[in-house]
Formats: sequence, structure tokens, C-alpha cells
Amino acid sequence: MLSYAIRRLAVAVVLAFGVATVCFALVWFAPGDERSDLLLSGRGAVVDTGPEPGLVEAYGDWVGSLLRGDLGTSERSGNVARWLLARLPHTLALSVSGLVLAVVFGVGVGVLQAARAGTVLDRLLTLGTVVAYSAPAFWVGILLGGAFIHKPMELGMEPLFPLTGVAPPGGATSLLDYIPYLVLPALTLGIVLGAGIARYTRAAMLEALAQDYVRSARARGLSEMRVLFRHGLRTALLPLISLLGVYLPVLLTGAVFVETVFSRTGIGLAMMEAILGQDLQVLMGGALMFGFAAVVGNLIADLLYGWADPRIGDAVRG
Amino acid sequence: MTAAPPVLEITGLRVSYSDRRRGAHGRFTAVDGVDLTLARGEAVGLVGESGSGKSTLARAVVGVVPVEAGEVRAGGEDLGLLRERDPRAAARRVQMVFQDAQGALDPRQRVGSALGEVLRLHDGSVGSEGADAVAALLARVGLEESHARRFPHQLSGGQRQRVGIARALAVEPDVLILDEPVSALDVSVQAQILTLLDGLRRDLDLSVLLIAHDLAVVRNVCHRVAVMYRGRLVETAPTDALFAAPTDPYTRALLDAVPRL
Amino acid sequence: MQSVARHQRGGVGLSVFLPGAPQILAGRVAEGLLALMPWLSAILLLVLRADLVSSQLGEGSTVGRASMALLAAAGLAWAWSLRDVSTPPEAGAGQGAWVRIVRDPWAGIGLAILLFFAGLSLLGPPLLLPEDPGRTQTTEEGFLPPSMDHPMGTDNAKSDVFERFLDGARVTLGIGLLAGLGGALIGVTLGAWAGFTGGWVDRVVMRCVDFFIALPKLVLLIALAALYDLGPVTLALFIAFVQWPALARIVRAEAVALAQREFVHALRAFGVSERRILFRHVLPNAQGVILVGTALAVANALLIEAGLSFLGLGLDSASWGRLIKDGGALFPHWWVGGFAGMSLVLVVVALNLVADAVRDVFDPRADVTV
Ligand SMILES: Nc1ncnc2c1ncn2[C@@H]1O[C@H](COP(=O)(O)OP(=O)(O)O)[C@@H](O)[C@H]1O
Ligand SMILES: [Mg+2]
Repeated sequence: MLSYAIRRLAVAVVLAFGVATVCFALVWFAPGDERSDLLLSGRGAVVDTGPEPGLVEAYGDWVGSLLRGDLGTSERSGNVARWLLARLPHTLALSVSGLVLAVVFGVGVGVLQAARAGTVLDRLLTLGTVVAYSAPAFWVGILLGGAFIHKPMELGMEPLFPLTGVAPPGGATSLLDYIPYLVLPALTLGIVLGAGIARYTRAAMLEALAQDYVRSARARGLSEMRVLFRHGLRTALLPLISLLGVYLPVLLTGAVFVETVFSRTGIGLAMMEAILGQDLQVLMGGALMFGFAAVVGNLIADLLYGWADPRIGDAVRG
Repeated sequence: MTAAPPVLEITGLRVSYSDRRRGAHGRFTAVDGVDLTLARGEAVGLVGESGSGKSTLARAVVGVVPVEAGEVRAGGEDLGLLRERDPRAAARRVQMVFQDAQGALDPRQRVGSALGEVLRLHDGSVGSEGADAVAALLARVGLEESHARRFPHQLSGGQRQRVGIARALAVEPDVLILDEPVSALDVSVQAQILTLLDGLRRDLDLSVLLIAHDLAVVRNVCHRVAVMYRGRLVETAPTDALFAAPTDPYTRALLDAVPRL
Repeated sequence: MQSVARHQRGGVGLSVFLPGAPQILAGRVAEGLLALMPWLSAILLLVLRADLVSSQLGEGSTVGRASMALLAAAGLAWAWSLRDVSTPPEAGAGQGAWVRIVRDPWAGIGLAILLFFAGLSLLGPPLLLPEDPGRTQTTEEGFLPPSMDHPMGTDNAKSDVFERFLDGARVTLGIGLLAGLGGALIGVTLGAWAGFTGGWVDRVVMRCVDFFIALPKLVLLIALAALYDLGPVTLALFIAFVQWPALARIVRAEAVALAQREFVHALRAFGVSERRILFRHVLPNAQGVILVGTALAVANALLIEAGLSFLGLGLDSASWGRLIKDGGALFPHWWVGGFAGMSLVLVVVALNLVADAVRDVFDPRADVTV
């Protein structure tokens, strides 16, 4: 297990370098102005005045400042790293609650479908998950916002949830104040991601339940619930952990759209505002942060998987 | 007569597979120092229980699994080297009918197209000429022209076996190796296939290496029999002599399993 | 009625007026809808725009060609349906994989949806938009709800939403198709090559795949689109570039499995070249996963294009994503973004339905021997 963890860590470091390099390449090949802005701004005083650095020098600078946790400074937002970190909690809150909802929905619906396989309910849910799975996060967000915020307003009622933002205008007094702002955005992510998880869970459960030992457990008279959870869910859930690693980038990009739809001041919205304001340091800083978040998330999923299934350590090593 | 080298000459052949159970670099030797020679027009039976390495031997000869040590010569020429230089020429020396008749055919390819592909590759016959050649091949193995339009799964076991033989014959090989061609078939169909083989051997002056896991199959169609046990040949003798007076205890055990007439 | 439909015999009468209807009643939804749709569209066209068609038919104009195409499709559908109904079903005829996909009701609905949007985006603009392009640009008022004049209403800039919708269909579906197919081409080639060849080629390609799959690609695409001016082809190319790893992974897995199959060994023993084995035997046997993967890649590419335009980062020209963005909150002007949003979901659902059916038919665990 330890050597497995070390290997995964090494892979993550390489991946992180890759993310940094891809972002650097985006900047290096960008057309004139943007490029010099981005390349020079990290170097404090030299803004505007210094000569263009060469490729090697620029790349060294880029990686060096990243290692120091320095994402540069911008006229509009000041220290980019600090600016983004201040918004990180809002994105994290959205992603984590979205992920939790997705797992709850997905596993719940998938298990229900597997237990009632072939019934009308199963068919309807299958259709529902295909639709939800096919819908882009921004459209689901717009639909939810329409149903719970804008339609009531059109009818002259109070909207059921706050219109935009992450907290009450006067500032939050307790953690509970944040929740109304989080409901619809998290629900959006939960639906979009949960649909995929449900499809997976249903298939994996059905496969697990068709195994011989499960059939014999049934024959021995084990209660249906026990069979479902002890044998079905357990086998089905293990690969789900690695699936979550795959979903992580989806979760993060989903956050960009959901923040845009609901005007949540997270990192995604910061990136979009940065594009409008030509604040390119913030844009690249956001891209880097999302990139690193994906790497870390993948690492966590890998480690969880190795921890949940000790055999995997050997299998992967071999 | 004595000047002509044997059509197939196997010396000291060793083949091994990687075997994880024997450690990270562990290997399992499936064929271990086998010597076997085939003269033109000769039929030799290769018999041994399941897992004794018969298929591995055959697959090594046609180059499907790598040879670890030893030599395979065809008509006096090293077959491995020939295969590297000219794979098609090597294919014309020794051809094989695989044990899994259905698995050896591309499931998405019609019989006619599978035969045509090999014909085209080896003598360039295309178009109506190719279709005629396919029909001739099918007739040769006792199938009808209409079978050319079937997919492998639409054939019976015996028919699939015939298709496999037809495809091998398409390259007009000197040596034909058949890996348990009848093991999966009903007894009556077994007899048909064995009769077909015997006829082909006579008509085409073919050398045949017939693999089987029991001696009864090879008795009537082979001149000589080689008995294989755990990767080695334990006894090689003319068929009559072997049946009359087996020297190896394992051969005797095999003989005891043959139903007496 | 039921028994008529089942045997498709007395369906001849129905087939004359509604080609495809007997097939739909018999449960062959796709074939039925594929026949019915061009027929109904042609009739609608003749009823609504008889003047246009009669004046332009036979002319070399776009309208003329488009109406010709539609009428020809309708005629074909009619002939096919009649012929199909009057031929008795072959007893015990084996059903190939493709037939089974088309006859799967859900896949049938999916295919019909795809055909509908393909037809709409190709034939819609010349046939359905008024000849005078200036007319729709300057409507009387912004945010008019749907009406006969403006089937999808108008937007804040007083443009006809239906016109923007049709333009958007071309852009979104076109780029989605291009990018999806492009990504599939790269992914299939690399995946099949890696899986079939094995060794260091396999390791290098798969490392790249792992790397690309772990990246939050859309975020990087956002940065890319913000920093660079992308034309339609470059945009499609970059979307294709984020698509290929997923396809390479599944195709590689299939190729690895196929490379170990006995028929591949047999072909080698006949001296068949590696290239021929790969292209003529391995790839055709992987067509199930390739097809599923391609359908999903196209779906994904559509969503990415729409997503980028939704953020205001796509092409300057129309796109469904742009329309959704301009629609803003769904209420009160639901028609601005609503049609585009629903159509986007519908097309992606259709692709998923088709992919699911293909997967079921080609699933190695399913019984494929007919
Ligand atoms: N691809 C392979 N990898 C590892 N071991 C193999 C492989 N093929 C065969 N073996 C092993 O080699 C031995 C000989 O197998 P085989 O040649 O198929 O025997 P036979 O054809 O006589 O039944 C068996 O023990 C078998 O398990
Ligand atoms: Mg064998």
C-alpha cells in the first residue's frame, strides 16, 4: 500500500507539472499583448518595461513562481493567489455539496432501479437519468432557477431562493445563512453528476446481483435488503470510487457554469469576470487552480481506491 | 530420395510461457526439447493428454508463439528466419488448422471472404477467378458453394472444421498441422473429417501432423505416432508397432483408454 | 387494427397516405419515423409554401434544390413504405446487428430525432425563412412571444428567434459533428494502434491518455478561447483534441482483447500483414465500441461548443449556447433560450439512446449468435 501511495503521488506530481506546462504553453503562444502581460507581470517591478524573456527563462520563471505559490499580480485584483483563495471557499462549498448530493441521488436511484429492475418505475427512471445525463449543467441551472426563482417572481410571489450571490447582502451571521444560496447550485451539480452515477450504479448492481454467490445467498433465504446491500452495493461501490476521480474535472467545470448561472462569486465566476475585464492573470490563475484541484482530486480517488481494495496495490504494481 | 531434406524437421524445440505463480520472472516450460521429423506425404499423429504441450508445439512451429530454444527447419531451411524474411513463403511451408475452429475465424467475415483473403494474398487471384478458386476450395473439403456466404457462427462444428482446412489448403502448404480437429465433434462427423484428411493427404502429397488426445483418432490415418507427456516426446514409433508393443508406461496407459474392438 | 399492424398486410391503405405509419404501429419506430418525417415535411411545405415551391422548383437556387431534396426524400419514403408493407416478412430471417439497432424502439426514437434536426438545419433555412432577410431583423418590438409571424418569438435585439435557432442549429450541430468525428478519428487510431501493437507504443500512448483524462479540459478550453481568436475549424479542432483520450482508452481496451483472439493468430500464421490485420479485422470487430464512443464524443462536443458559446467564448456567429445565454433567466422570456436549450438536450439524449442501443447489441456478454 505504501509503495502504491508513493507511486500515485509521483504520478500526481508529474501531472501537476503537466498542468503548469499546458497553461504556460497557452500563454507562450498567445497573441502579442496578452502574452507579454502574462509573462512579465509575475516579475514584480518589470511590468511593461523589461525585455521579453526567452522560452527557457520564461518557463523557469513560470514554474518557479508557481512553486512559491505566486500566481502573479494584476492591476484589477492585486495579488492573484490571494484574490482567488478568498473565493475558493465558495467554489469548494459548491463542489463538495454538489458531489455529496450527486452520490446520494445517484446511488439511491441506482439501487432503487436495480431492486425494481424491469418495472415501469425502472424504465421511467432510466429515461429520466438519460435526460439528466445529457443536459448541460448550465441548462439544468437555468431550468431550476426558472422554476424556483424567476417563475414565482413573474407570478408576483417571493422567489423561493435568493436571486444571486453567495451570502446575504449584509454579510452572514451564521453558517446557516449560506445554505439558501447553495441549494439550487448544488442541486444542479447533484442532478447532472448524479445521473451518471445512477446509470453506473444500476448496471453494477445488476451485474453483482447476477453473480452465483448472490443467487445462492438468496436461495439460502437471506432477506432481500441484506442481499441488496451486503452483496450488491458493496461490490458495486468499489469501482465507483475511481469513477469519482473521473468525474472530478466534470465537477470543476460544472462549477464554472453553475457559478455563472447563479452569479456565485467563486473561482469560476472570477475567471469569467477576468475574461470580460481583460484580467488575464486571474484567468490563468483560475485555470491553474482548477488544474491542480483536478490532480489532487484524482490522487485522493486513487488513494481511496487503494485503501478500499488492498488487492489493487498489487494489481497496479504488477 | 535420400537427398531431399524432410519437409519438417524439429530439433530440440523448447517453448515456455511466463508464469506469475513462479515469481515475477517465473516461466513455465510447456514444450521441452522435442525432436520430430516429417517426410513428404507422411502422416504423423501427435498424441498426449490435455495440457501436455501439443498445441504449444504446433503454435511454435507456425510462429504464433516464440521459440525459446531449438530449431524448426522446413525443406532444409530455417523456418523462423524465412518467416522474418518472407512471411508468406513461410506460411506456404507449414500451415495449421487451429484447435478452436470458430475462434480461429474472424466472426465478422463471411467464409468466402476469409478464403478469398488468403487466396488473394498468396496467388493474387481476385474477382471471378477468386470466386472460382473459393468454390474449388470449398468443394475440395466437401462444402457447397453456398457456404461461402455464411458467417462462421452459421456453420456446424464439422463445417467450421472443414472451412479451417480449406483455408489452410488455400496456400498449398507442404505440411498441414491439425490441432485436435475432431475432438469437439460427434463420432460420426469425426470419421468424415478423418476420411477427408486421408484423401487430401493422398491427393495433394501433403505431409500431415495430426494432433489428438486419444490414440483411437490417429490409428487409422497415421503412419507414425508420437506420444507427448508433460512437454516431452516419450515415444515415437510406427503406428502398428506402437499399438502392438508400447515401450513407455504412459503410452500403455493411453492405450488402455482406447476402446478395444 | 392491432392485427393489421402486426402483420402489416392491410397496412397498404394506411401506407399510401401516411408512409411509415404501419411500421410505427408494428413497433418499428425508427424506420417508420424516418419515412413519415420527410413525407409530412414535404406535405407541410407544399401546403404552407406552395407559391415558393412552384416558382423555385427546377431552378438552380438554394430553395429549389432544398425543395427538390425534400420531395425526393418524401417520394423515396413513400415507395419504401409501400414496398415494405406489401412484402410478407421473411420467415425466420436472421437479423443482423444493424437491423436490431434500427428496430430497437428507443434507438429508433433517437435516430428519428437526429434525422429531424439534421433535416431542419440543412433544409430549414432556405425553405422556412422568408426570402427577404431584412424583414426579420427589424421586427416591430423586442421580446415578442411566439406567433405565426415569429414561431419562436423575438429576442431583446428584435431579431427573429427562429432564424437564430436555425443558424444556431447549423453551428452547434456542425461543430459538434466535426469535433466529435475528429476526436473519434484520433482516438480510434491511437487507441487501436496502441492496444494492438502493445509494448512501448502502448505505454506511451496510454500515459498521454491518462494525463489528458485527468485535466479539467473545459477550463483549459475556456482559457484557450479567451486568449486566442478561434475560427470554426480551429475551435472544432481543439474540441476534438480534448475528446480523443476517452475514445482511445475504450478502443484500446477492445483492441487489446481482440489482439489475443485466436483468429488474429491464425491470420498471422497465413502471413497476413499486421496492418491488414489491424484495419481489416481488429477495427471491424471493434465497431461496437467505436460507434458508441463516437456517438458519445459527438454528444460531448456539442455540449462543449454550446457551453463555450454560453459563456460568450465561442464563435461570434450564432450558436444554441449563445441563444441560451441571451435568453438569460428562463422567465418571463422563456422562448428566447428555451427552444435552443430543449433542442440541445434532445439531440444529446438522442445520441445517448442510439449509443445505448448499439452497446446492447454489440455487448460481448449479450448473446450475439443469431
Ligand atoms: N498462452 C499461455 N500462457 C501460459 N500458459 C499456457 C498458455 N497456453 C498454454 N499454456 C500452458 O501450457 C501447457 C500446455 O498447453 P497446450 O499446449 O495447450 O496443451 P495441449 O494442447 O496438449 O492440451 C498447459 O499447462 C497450459 O496451461
Ligand atoms: Mg491443445
